[in-house]
Amino acid sequence: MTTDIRDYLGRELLFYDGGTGTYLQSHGLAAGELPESCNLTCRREMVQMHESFLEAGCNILLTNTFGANPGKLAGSGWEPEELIQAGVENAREAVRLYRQRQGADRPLFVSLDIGPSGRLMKPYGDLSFEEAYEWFRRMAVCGEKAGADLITIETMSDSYEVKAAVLAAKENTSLPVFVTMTFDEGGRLLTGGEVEGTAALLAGLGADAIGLNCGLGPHQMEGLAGKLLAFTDLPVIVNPNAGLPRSENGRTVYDVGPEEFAGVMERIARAGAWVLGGCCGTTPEHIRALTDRLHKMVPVRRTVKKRTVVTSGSRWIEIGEDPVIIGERINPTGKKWLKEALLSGDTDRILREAVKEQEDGAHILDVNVGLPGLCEAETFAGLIPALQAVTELPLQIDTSDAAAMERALQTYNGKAMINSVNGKKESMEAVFPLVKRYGGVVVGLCLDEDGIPDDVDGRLRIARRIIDTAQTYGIGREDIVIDALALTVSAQAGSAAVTLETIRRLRQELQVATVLGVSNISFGLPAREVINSSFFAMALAAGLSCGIINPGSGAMRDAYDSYRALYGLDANCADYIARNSGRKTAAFPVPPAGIQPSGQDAKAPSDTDGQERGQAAAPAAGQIAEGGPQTELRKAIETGLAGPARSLTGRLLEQLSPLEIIDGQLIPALDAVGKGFEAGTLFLPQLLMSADAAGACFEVIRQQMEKTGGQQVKKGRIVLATVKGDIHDIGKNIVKALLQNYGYDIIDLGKDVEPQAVVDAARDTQARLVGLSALMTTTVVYMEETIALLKKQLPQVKVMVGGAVLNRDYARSIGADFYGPDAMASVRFAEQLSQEGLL
Amino acid sequence: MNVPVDAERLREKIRRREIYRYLGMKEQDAGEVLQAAVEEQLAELLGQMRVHSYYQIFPLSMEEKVAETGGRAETDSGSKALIRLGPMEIVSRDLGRNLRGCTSAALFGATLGMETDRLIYRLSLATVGRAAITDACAAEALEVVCDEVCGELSRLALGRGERIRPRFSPGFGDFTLEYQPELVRVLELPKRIGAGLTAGGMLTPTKTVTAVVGFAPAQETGNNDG
Repeated sequence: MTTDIRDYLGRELLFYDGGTGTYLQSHGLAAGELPESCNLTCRREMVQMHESFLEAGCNILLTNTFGANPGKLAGSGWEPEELIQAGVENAREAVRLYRQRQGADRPLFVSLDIGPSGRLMKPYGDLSFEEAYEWFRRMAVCGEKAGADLITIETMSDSYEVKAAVLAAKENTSLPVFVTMTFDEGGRLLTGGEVEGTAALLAGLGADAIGLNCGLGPHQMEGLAGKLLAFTDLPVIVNPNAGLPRSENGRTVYDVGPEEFAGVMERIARAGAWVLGGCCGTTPEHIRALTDRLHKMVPVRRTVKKRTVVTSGSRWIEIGEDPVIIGERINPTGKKWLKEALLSGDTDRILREAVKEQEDGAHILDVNVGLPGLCEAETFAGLIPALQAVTELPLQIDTSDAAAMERALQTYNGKAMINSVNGKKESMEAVFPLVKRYGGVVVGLCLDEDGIPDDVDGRLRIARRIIDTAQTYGIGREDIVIDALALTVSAQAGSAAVTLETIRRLRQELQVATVLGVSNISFGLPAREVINSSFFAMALAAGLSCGIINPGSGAMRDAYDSYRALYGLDANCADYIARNSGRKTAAFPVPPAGIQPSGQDAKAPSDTDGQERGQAAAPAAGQIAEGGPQTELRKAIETGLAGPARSLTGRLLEQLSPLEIIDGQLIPALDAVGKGFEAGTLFLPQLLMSADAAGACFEVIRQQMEKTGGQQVKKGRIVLATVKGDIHDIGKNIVKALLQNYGYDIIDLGKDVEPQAVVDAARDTQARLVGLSALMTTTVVYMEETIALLKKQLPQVKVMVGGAVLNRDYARSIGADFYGPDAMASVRFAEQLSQEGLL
Repeated sequence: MNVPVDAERLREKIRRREIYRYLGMKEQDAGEVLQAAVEEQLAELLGQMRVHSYYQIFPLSMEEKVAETGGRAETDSGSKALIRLGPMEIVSRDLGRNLRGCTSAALFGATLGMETDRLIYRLSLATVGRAAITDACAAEALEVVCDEVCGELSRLALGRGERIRPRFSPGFGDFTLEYQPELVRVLELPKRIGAGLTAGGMLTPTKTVTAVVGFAPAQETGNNDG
């Protein structure tokens, strides 16, 4: 009899045991202690527990090691290795004793059980991916050494954490890896992922069987199991609780009895689940009822359509019939601002672009950081988590550097799109092992050692080679998207036709999804949007699955929306109507309308054509005075109207220099609002909305300056940080927005910043002023530590502080030079230092 | 136990007055532009946040703790109590007062999820005003979620012939934040609601609350229901 459980999957139904915690509690064990310590303190009882589940007919024993990770055991006096070894030995002993009595009546397996870390992953929690990986690695290695037959990673509710666990298990042991996740009734993980996206992620990581456990009873789980069974071709595991928990006299109880439990499980097995068992509240009696009812059932085989799916931590996107927009904007080629942002580490600027692409309707964001003088791997390692903290969209990792690609895939939360591999042997040998290891959907370019074929057959030949070679690595066609390559039409007449025909034949003959960097077509031509959008529409009609485009381009969007409406992909043209109803112009969107004169009815901001979402609350009647655009701009800023302020700035730039606008309009408007705030006639949100409006003006001015090569003069450099341990950074962000408006160059270190990192940044940037925020008494200690370090290493640097628990005396006592009771006070302090020439 | 919170109900219960209070002002001082922004941000928040909450009820016992200064009980301010709540031991005068007469208490955690943090962070990149407004909306939404959890506990108490005390969180009075880590561990909050602590001992996601809610006999005329 083989001991590889994978040989039995689909040949016979396999059964897990029931709830370990439930058993321990009902036998008066481990109350108030670490349940895993029982592995050594009451071995006999643990062996008996396992035996009772074997007697009930199960095949797979989970070791009592759910929480035996270095984090949970810290300070307990126990080491993971000793508890895991004992845990595996106990289960092995139960198998031995059972076999002695019953003989080899059915296959039996001991599975190392790995539960969640008990901590939250960064950026929301404090557990790093590397640390989580190391914890799980220790558990997995020890489990294999102690003699486990497989590893079950269970009760996971975070896609990033489960990625660390699966990689740790697969990369450090040779055991089969089964994974079950916990979803809520709405079918989501705590971190937001859905059943389908999670299944795609786990399949990509190479799990041998996947499924559901805990959180729900069999009734609630049935629907989710159906979803999973319809979506994945991997063997499916279902281990529900004995119903939903209920509190009774201070005890947690579960209401679904053994027969009812087994009844629902039978339906789930008939739907195609191959591995069944129980979680919290399920007893040996539940498992007995289950195996009695089902042990003779032949596993139901499913045929599941293979899908091309990319995911983030919380979202999944299918690349199929309905075309997908991949935002192209985060790519420094030809973008001066992005080059500068990447080189200076101005992550915020890049994040703003990502947010804008998402708001413009992108489904996936391409991320390319290839720039001479920049380490791509390091840049990806910093930028990807930052992007994933602001956008739910899946990312496309765009690099030709294999080391950078690997670092990016390791860091990424989800199953990424990978751009790209090509038909060269060298490229495939570098990229395919990474796709296999981390999962992903890889873009294959139709070029090889001989360049880009200029005929359709040549490109198809390369596509076939890419697909066939991928197969030898165990990567299916569903995880490949072929780029037919758009060449510059002005340089090679007729090349667009080849590209379009290649797309058509890729879809028809190779049944593979397709992608195209659409804008390449128009290099060197005027009015590029015109030809880009026409080509995009033709490519979509030819069968393009994903377009890498600028989602902010109205013409491209029009082509996309029209295609979907015309090809029946937009039910009742609902999306088309939502985007275009009330639209006044037919072809291209007009620039924002600007401020309407006083007295006109100007309500319903969100519906107004051409205005940006959430930015353009229209002025109330009478709030904007009559006058030229200069007066209007000042009023727009004072009123906090970002949309109108932006368009007015654009108009004013035709008449005035950037400096004239800044000194003549922006600063006076901000001063007026600041004074109103200090006098108590205006309030914080109004001050901030004015700051936002001014920020919108600065953005327009900065874009203009970049075009003309001018530079905004900065008054001085200030480092801002929310101190170590503290994650409440809204106060710091408010101060930052105001200081930026007043012309200061802000180095924002973010939140939860190590004291030494603050000192290093101040030293490296030669800033003369550091601003620190802390919200709570527990974190003010780190503020004090940071100040002490600054004063020691950089005595010339001034420190200003703010935060809810501080006051002037307290601030002085921890060594701060200035306490800002509100955001304006920080501006005044900076202005004072600036005037004294200290910045 | 989880308390399902209905989105529609939340929408109805959110008090504009409280949102403006968090913003440091009164609604009548807002003006149309700000009011419109508050409504837009509230709608965006309600569309994106994902509420999770979890409670567990534990037996409770208390003993008065003689103050360490000279062995004399602090009669005027009330003496500290040693509170045994399930696996936790808490020393606190103020929580002791709140729980006087109770024989059991619930511990609960509630959060608006990391989606809320992500939204506020995203807004803060270019529109810090909208970030601050959303932050205030979220603070009020979390209050309403806590009220909903307490409503559920109150119904439960009523069924047992009891009534609940006002919720009491670490950080109130002398019930210090030092108890937060244990509370998070006892409730297994990372697993139950996706919330936890940072190295600095702060709850994360930022819009997360933990609290103790005492169950007292219904007929008592205690003066702690403030």
